[in-house]
Amino acid sequence: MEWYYAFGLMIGAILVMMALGMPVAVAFFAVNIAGCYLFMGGMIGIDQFISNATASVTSFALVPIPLFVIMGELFFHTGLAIRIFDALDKCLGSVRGRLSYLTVAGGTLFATLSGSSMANTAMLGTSLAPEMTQRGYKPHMIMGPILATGGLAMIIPPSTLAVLLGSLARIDVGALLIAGLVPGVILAGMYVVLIRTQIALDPEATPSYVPEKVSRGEMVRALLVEVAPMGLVIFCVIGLILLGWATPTESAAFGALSVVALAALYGRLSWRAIVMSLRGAVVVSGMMFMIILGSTTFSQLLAFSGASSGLIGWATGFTVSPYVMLLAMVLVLIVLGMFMDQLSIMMLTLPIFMPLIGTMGFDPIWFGVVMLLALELSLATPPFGMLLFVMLGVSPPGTTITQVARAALPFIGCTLLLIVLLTIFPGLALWLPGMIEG
Amino acid sequence: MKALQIYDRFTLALAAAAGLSLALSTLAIVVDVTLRNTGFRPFQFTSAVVEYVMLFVTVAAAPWLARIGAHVAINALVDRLPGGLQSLLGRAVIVLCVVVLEVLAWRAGALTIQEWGFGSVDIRSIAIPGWLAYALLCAGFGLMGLEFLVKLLRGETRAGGDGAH
Amino acid sequence: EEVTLRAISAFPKPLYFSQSFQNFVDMVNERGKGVIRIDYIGGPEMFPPNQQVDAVRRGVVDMQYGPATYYLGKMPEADAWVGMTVSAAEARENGGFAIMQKAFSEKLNVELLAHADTGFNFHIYTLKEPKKLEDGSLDLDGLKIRSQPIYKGFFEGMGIIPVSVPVPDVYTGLERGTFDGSGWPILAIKDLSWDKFLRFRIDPGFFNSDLAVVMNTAKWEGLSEEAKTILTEVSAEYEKSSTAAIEATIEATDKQVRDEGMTVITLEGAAREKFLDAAYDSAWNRMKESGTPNYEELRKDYYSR
Ligand code: NA
Ligand code: NA
Repeated sequence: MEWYYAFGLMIGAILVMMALGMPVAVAFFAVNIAGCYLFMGGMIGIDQFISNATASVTSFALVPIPLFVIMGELFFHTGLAIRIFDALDKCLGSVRGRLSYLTVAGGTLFATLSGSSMANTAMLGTSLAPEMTQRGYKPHMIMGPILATGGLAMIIPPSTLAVLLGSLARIDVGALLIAGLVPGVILAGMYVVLIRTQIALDPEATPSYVPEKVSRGEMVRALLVEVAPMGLVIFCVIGLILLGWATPTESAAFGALSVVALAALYGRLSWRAIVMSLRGAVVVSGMMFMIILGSTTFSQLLAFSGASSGLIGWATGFTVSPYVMLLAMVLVLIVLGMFMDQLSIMMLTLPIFMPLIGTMGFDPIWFGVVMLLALELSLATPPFGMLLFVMLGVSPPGTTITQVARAALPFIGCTLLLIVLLTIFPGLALWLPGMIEG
Repeated sequence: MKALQIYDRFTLALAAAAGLSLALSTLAIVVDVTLRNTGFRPFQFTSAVVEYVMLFVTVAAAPWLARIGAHVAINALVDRLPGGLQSLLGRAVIVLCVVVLEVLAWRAGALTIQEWGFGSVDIRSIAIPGWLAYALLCAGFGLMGLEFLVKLLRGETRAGGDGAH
Repeated sequence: EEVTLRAISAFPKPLYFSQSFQNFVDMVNERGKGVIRIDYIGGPEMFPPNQQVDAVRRGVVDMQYGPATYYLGKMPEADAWVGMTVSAAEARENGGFAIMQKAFSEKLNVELLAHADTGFNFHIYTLKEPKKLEDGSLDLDGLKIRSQPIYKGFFEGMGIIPVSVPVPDVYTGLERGTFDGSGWPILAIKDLSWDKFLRFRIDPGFFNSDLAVVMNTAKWEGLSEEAKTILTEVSAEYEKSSTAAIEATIEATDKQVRDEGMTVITLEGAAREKFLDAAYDSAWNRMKESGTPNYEELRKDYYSR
């Protein structure tokens, strides 16, 4: 079968199943059953699908997801989130859309704590979204920033994906990690500008209430009492990594426990809060893991059928100028990213891309950053962006995927713009590693 | 409908077990890291068990998530159909879910027996019986499919929600 | 009529070992023109490494290259390769390889073609210099070393605390000193840039390659005699050529890491023997405990120190 038939058949089938309202996870299962039967030679294909599925979620790399969700849920259910927001409200005064900015700030902070975009998005979604909805923020001003900053986790170190990319592309892991820092911060800055523009265009998108005037003393008090103790949580997550006591994955467990300790300190800890937080973690991670179970296998099948490599080979088969080729590679990454998991994409594309990058004279570390950005983008692109499903899972009932995708769109634009900027000014990525590594 | 009540409770109990296992995993990691950093020997089983807990959570929560409509689905297009067609299509989708999941449960069950026969072992930080992952998948797919069947009998016409957090 | 076999590897294509397998594929395709052809279609992006031998057994793919110890639970004989000290060619001569072929066939239901890339060892790498004891051995007691299942037993026997950390977390862990070192094969030490932090290597290395090329049994039996002969001959040749390639790569890597300032701590005399005994005994004891009737014969054929 020609690769484009296989590609069209599998993508078409999954789109139809999903459009019919079949749960996303089951839609993947249905197409996997049919696809395995077709491409892997009948019943043995279905058995192989189940064998493959046993490995897809029994993975330590997924552990941060429930742990970060527990953390976010605890913030919300113990009321710590409200207290922090109220305190910051007092200090930020009448800045319109302040919670949207706070999402970017908080999300960027947590991106430096976590190496997993899905975990970061789930955490931000569970702790911030309910509170912002209550305060009258329009859905796109809540979901857009959360989706966007959630994805920063794999650009800003530590990043699981950057480490794997470094080893597969045979480039220096340390340099690649550092190279992501400046572009990550620029991206966060672009998000702030974007939010400011969105508010200017549609002031009604965010509530306009002005909190009562408070004295400077009260402000300091609010910061010290409500916000400063948050340092404990941040210490537990990032401090333990820096001190060399825990790996990024392990430190997430300490983070969750530290929120419990903090809530107890404020007298806000209750069994109900703990149970509700665990319930939330079960809902979000159970839903996500079931999709991962189906989509990982779908991704493997797409690779086995030859559809993915066909697309890559076709797109890179033309003799064109380096910049057009670069564009083709980024497009391939984004298209594959819609349907496949990121590690598989790297394994498929890097053997073809890296030699091309070499002959075209691009810097491999610079390309690594571009690739991370394109892969991050693919997490939020419809119809299969995993972060969209995460967002949908943590949003109030009635939220539609169209709303979520529309909220993500302008932020996707920022990432694309950053890729263009990086192409014009490669120094944005290469300056810092050059400085540090000498 | 005593049987249905017991079944509902069983599904809820499984979800509760998933929540409890997440809580215990969190504590296990904390204990493990603390032991390692205070000069004691950490338990070897932690990472392997926590990895399997991820699969356990997936399958144990699945039927309950199906009940509360928390398996994300995209209903935007179906919602535009006229009512009669919508519920007909909804039922057809639920039937398809049952078929897909029970086929998977059947194969996962067959493979569980096969792996048991091989006596295979999944070697991680500790050795875990090779049939366990297959058995978990069999139970998870089977119960999730059963829940969709119950949904159908209850007269529901929607397989998944748009987020039920 | 040329037969085409579809093959997969347990490693992503850019990594050293997959390139080694590519050499095997090229050799077969060169020699087998018009008779047999291997199409190396991919790796872990299609099948998770631990499930690949199942894909071969079922006939979803025809051939696979990867570590035999992934199936240690089903086939305890895999430890013969972990604990081997002879060359692959010697094992073919003395009958050890034939026993392994039987084990692969009985336990995994696949046909074993080649034992590839023999001749590389694993080493213990550390962040800081380990303390030397009076008898010339090293004080490794209480060190936290990132470990893998095959050498966990050996580490514990020396008082090391084996730490199980997923590969992507290791870089940050080493950077921050979350653990004191890692076990790793000598030739892949630069793949993940771990050598930036692991400044000490303990010699001698221990253990050996467990990499196998296997085939679906029915597919193998359906091949023409000519095709079988080509595969068998090329396999034996590949065992030698891959070992030669490994030796060259080890030499180059060893020189490079030394040039870049890695300190090699070499155990001598009795301390060295004690260290190696502990390593190899851990593998052979594990096989003995499994109760396989092949233990005595395999030990005789694969182990001589
Ligand atoms: Na990060
Ligand atoms: Na995606």
